[in-house]
Amino acid sequence: MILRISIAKTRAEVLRCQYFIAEIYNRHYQIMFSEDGHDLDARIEPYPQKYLMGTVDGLLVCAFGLYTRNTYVERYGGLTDEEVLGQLEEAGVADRYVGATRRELTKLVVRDGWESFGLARMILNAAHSRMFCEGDWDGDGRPVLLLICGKVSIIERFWAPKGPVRARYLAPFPRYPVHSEYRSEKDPMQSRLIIPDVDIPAALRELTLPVELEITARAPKVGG
Amino acid sequence: MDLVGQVGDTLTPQDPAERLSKLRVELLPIDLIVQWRRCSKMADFLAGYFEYHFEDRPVAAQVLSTGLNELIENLAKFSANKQKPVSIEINHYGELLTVTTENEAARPQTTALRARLARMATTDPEELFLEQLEHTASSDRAASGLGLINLKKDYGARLAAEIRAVPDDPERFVVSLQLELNVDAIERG
Repeated sequence: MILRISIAKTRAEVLRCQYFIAEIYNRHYQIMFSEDGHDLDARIEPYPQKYLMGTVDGLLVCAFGLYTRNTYVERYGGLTDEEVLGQLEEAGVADRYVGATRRELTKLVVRDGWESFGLARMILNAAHSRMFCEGDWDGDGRPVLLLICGKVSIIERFWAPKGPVRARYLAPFPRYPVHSEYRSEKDPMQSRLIIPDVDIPAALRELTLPVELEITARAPKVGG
Repeated sequence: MDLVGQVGDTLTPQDPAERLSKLRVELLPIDLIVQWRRCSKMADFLAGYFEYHFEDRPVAAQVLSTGLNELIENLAKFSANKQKPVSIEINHYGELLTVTTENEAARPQTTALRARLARMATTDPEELFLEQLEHTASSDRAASGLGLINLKKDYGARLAAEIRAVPDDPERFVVSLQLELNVDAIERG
């Protein structure tokens, strides 16, 4: 089977991604979405502005979003400029990212029944392509820094050390009722920073989209 | 526990021949999940449609919208299958206005609804209001239920459900929830 990963461009593609993400997030975390207003205490979240979609024979099987502005980490994570600057200075690239815009990868979903194909890792890696996450969506041409937030277990599974992209620790993510079905004491949420020049391998950063990848189902793990 | 049957307040039997107006809307819960503001937009639209039956239209629109919004949000949250159509039906009988919603719910949600309606029917609305206010502040703003309690407290609204079995699925139930509002109580503000 061939997985086609592409940027959602038409209104119909964007709507399909929104319905897909909302349905899965509601089922697992009782979250609702709105483009008109959001309220984490009432479990109403904002949508990403851009989407990467994975299809097999036209069926949407996975999706990933990108906040191109008003990132979740900045709005709700209490992120400070100093925290970001500290990481940039440590990486020795602060001068290259003066006035950088911040975007955030978010809302990774995989269709039920398609979990054994490794789709999450494929679309997540492809989302680090310059064409998707650094595309000049706002037309201002500023350098782009990437943010993520999530449970430590998820971050460490999909980004370094197990994944190819490094995501630098910024801060713990504050507690909100909306994350009650997601985070736990043992598996807290964090905000992380990805510096594209330094943290994303060239092969991923220069990946051309759309891309087609052959997929096969993994054998079930012995013993569960 | 058998969940099937009637629960909640005793509603006034209605004669279909006495009905003045009727509006029925069918929609997919997923549409509300995808854009949550649609709940309040739909509530405002339906309230605006029926406000013409009242002398004090602004008050009527506000009261109706409050009740409708809560029922519509519940439809979205508690529908077991978000792709299966649910309905909202409003009937105006002159002295009474009824809002009936119908959806399929899973057993845990149906059990919780049944317990809640039974308690609402037997507890002083003022007490319920204070209780719910505390609960909402401390834990869950998303499932407040305050609007309906307010309608009971301020306008003597009655709320009841008929729960029916879904053939071939013992874990799901058809929930037909009815809100009954006295038109005079709304007119008096």
